[in-house]
Amino acid sequence: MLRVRGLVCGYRDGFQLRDVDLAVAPGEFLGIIGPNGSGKTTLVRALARSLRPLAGEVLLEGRDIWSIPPREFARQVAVVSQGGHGGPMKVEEYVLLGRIPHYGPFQFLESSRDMEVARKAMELTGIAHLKGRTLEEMSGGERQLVMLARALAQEPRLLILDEPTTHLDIAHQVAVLDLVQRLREELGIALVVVLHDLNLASEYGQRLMLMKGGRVKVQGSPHEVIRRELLREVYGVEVVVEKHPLSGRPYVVVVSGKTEVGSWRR
Amino acid sequence: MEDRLVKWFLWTVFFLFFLLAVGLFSLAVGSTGLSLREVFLSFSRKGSVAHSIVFQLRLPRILLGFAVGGGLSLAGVILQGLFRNPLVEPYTLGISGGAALGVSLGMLLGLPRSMGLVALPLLGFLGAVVVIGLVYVLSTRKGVMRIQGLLLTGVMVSFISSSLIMLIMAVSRLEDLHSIVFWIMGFLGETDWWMVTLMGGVSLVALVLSYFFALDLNALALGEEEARHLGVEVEKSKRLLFLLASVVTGLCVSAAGIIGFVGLVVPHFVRMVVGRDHRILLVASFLCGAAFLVLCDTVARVAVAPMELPVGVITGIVGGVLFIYALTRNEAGVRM
Repeated sequence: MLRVRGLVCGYRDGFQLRDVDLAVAPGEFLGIIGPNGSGKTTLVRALARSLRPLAGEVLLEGRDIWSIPPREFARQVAVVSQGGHGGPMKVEEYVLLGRIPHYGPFQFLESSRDMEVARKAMELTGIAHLKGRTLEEMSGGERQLVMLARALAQEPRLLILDEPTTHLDIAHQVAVLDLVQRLREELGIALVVVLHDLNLASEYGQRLMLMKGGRVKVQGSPHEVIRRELLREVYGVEVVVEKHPLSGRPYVVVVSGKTEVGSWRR
Repeated sequence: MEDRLVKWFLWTVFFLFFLLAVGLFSLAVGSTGLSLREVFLSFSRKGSVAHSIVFQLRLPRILLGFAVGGGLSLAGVILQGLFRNPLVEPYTLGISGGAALGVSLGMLLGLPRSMGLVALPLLGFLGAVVVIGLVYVLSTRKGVMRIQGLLLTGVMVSFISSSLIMLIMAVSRLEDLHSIVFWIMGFLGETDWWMVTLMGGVSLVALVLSYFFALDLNALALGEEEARHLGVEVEKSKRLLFLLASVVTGLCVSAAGIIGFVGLVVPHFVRMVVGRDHRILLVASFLCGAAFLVLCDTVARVAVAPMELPVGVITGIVGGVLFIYALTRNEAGVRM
């Protein structure tokens, strides 16, 4: 569904993403991990049609994303980026903005179907009871769910999430990723999710992509990516990798006092 | 959904009635007071004193006030939405400064005496167009219009033009000086049907055009990148909205001088009342701005009759006081 070939992308004279190749099939969960400044968000921007590639291409169903009209693209791909603000906007209004790409040429108001889709998106994300509240009176976690609901209201086939669990407690983290998992299984939505938490990435991702310095360090199953030597090399931190007792996936425990990042002794 | 539509409809009707009431009130009061009955009768009695007062003096002035007030408020809503900044108003972009500079220059050169009344609006519009072009070019790089840059450029252009105006004032003759000052403070009285028709048409067309961008403006409230994710062609929308707001502002300033505050205060008030959805905000602000300006102009006419106050003075005082009042009462409402 999504295919990236030889992507070079970034800001002139500044940070650049180099030689990125990836493919995501419908209903697949690709987790992107990597240290701060490794190019995860730049990659998201390139996939979301916010940043033009300097070389290479990003294809959606075989079409260069820059040749797809913006509204059509927004009906296929929804993005939840970091931050984002809506000020004193009401939750329901905000979620309904997700219907904008679906408006007909002379449609002025939301149709009953638009309302229905928005309602469903709010129910799925568990924020239906908040719909009359404004965004600025909500907690960071609730706001994240609202943004996810807006993305779902777009009825995308590919959902790109940039750190969707950052401001959430573990219950909400699991709730969001379980929900995302269900969307993937039931609706066949493809997912590209940037995650900071390696354990969540390992637990939910079917495939992981580890980035470093604007390049893809390694790509593969969690077993292939969450490995002690690799993580030590990329993050510069000592870790222990164990096997999750239930899912059998690898999980990571940090080892204190062995950090190499910003070490004085070096 | 349906109830929202009903609510929007009712608000539109409410503001329409408000506008109508203000219009009738303004037709009736003045140095020669007319009762509402006399106003209505005058419509059919050609040649009567009331008829000429209504049709030659008051009605053109009121209609011009509607057009200018509506146009400025509309431009204010558009620009505040575009910049996501509650302090932006049509004059922040330097357009009024350019128009004022054009007019002052024309007066210095004595053009009104040689070209007649039409010279001033024409020069004002020329000045506005020059500034619009300048601001546009200066803030666009590689096809991308940088909104914050636009704002700063606009403010700087305003400063430069007001300095130049002061220079012109310093070297101009006393009677020209008086006309410049008067023009800068805004005046709706000196008009004719031609101007009224032009401005009314422009304002209404702008209102209709703005509705093609109502959803884009809603999406832009989330920021440019988010709006892009929703499929909005951000660069195109920004450019067209900027041009729309600028041209309307330029024409309003050319027709009526610099009438401050309408484009700043009215959108805020309306936002507090009807909410932040541009699908209702645009038309409600247009109607409310039209009514507000005519109301202020009526006060300007009758407050110290037979003398007249510049309408800009009234809009500033009334708008400012109301705004501070609303600000202290409803802190959330004035935020973007």
